[in-house]
Amino acid sequence: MNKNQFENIENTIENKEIEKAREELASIRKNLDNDPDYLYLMSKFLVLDGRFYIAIDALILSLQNNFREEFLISKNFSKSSKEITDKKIELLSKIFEVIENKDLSKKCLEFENDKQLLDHLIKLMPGLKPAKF
Amino acid sequence: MVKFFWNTNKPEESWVGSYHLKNSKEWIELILKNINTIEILSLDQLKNDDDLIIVDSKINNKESFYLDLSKKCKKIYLFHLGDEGALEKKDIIYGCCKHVWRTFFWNSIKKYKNCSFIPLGYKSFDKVPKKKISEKKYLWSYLGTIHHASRYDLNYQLRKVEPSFVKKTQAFGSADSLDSKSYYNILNDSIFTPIPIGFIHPETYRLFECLEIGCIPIVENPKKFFDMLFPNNPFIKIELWKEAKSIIEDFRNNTQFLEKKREDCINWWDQTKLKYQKEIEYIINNEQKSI
Repeated sequence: MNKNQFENIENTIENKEIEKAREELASIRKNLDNDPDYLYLMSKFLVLDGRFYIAIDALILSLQNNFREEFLISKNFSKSSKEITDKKIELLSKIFEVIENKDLSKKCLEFENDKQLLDHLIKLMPGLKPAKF
Repeated sequence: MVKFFWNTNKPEESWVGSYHLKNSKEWIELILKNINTIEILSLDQLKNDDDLIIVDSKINNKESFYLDLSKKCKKIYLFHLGDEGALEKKDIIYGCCKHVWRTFFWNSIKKYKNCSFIPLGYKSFDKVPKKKISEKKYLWSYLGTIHHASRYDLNYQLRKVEPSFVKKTQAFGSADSLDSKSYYNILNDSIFTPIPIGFIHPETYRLFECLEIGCIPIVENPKKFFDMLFPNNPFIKIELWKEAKSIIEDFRNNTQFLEKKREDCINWWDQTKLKYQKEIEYIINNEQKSI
């Protein structure tokens, strides 16, 4: 996903332009639906749309896909940058606060790295299966 | 007399096909109650120009089967089970049928003018008397997988609400699941059943199992899905599971309210089943407009 495209969609979501964001995400879904950055944007959109649980699922998949080297190469996806990975973790923490799971909201920010956080979340929610390729 | 044929487990046995045969047959027979049918166990028992009700699932690779069948039968009425994501190939197969009833409502299905939606229904079981609120042991129960954030949060939010019964399983229908009798006994002993969304679709068997045995469903209702699907339903609806916790705590000692709610849910479900029986009867007997 190119940087400009990412920033444009992120701005649309931050400006709370929900229908525009929906259209922009839909227009790139076909090629990018399991791209780690796309999944992050999608989760941000889902939060704006009030669908918190699916937003958590999308963030977990985004973290998960970021570690799947072969998958990323096969789909021509890029890894999320450290900056975007940190944003994912912050967003997860924020969502857990909204749904009133304060323990997990706090814990999300305490792991040494995103792999440890991911392993913890997968233990709690073991049904999320990454996309096949 | 319309011939009735169960095809979910044919031509090859599959887990899903066998699951439907074992668990959905009672439901399908119930909604077909007003139709005079005779079950056939082989399509060799089909005569030219027969009308056929066929129950099927996993139809992706069955196009030629339906094309052949359409040459033999006067009219085919298909009950298409499963297809949670509405991704199975269906254009040709639905085109072979006079009418199709399918589970899992999707907007994309509306383009098939000969297709109507039916509820997923409940897993078959030997009926037992429904317990009243005062006879039940548990405030709430949950039996199933903890896949996805919603189900995790359900269990997290309600973890201190007692008495409860929780059995977490590995997968849908996995070996660690309770048998049907024990499963329904737990539901019968529960005042509330929290109903999280399914893997892909908001609708799950759990809702109809809960209604069939007489507990009060607390339904996760994303984007007011269940208000669209079943207008004026009496379910308790939530968006986040933290709401369920306060609802259960607020009403736990109000037996009068709970009994009334339980009865409303039972009556609504009885009426809903009758409505589907009548609609199916109307379509098969009149072959006019779809539901």
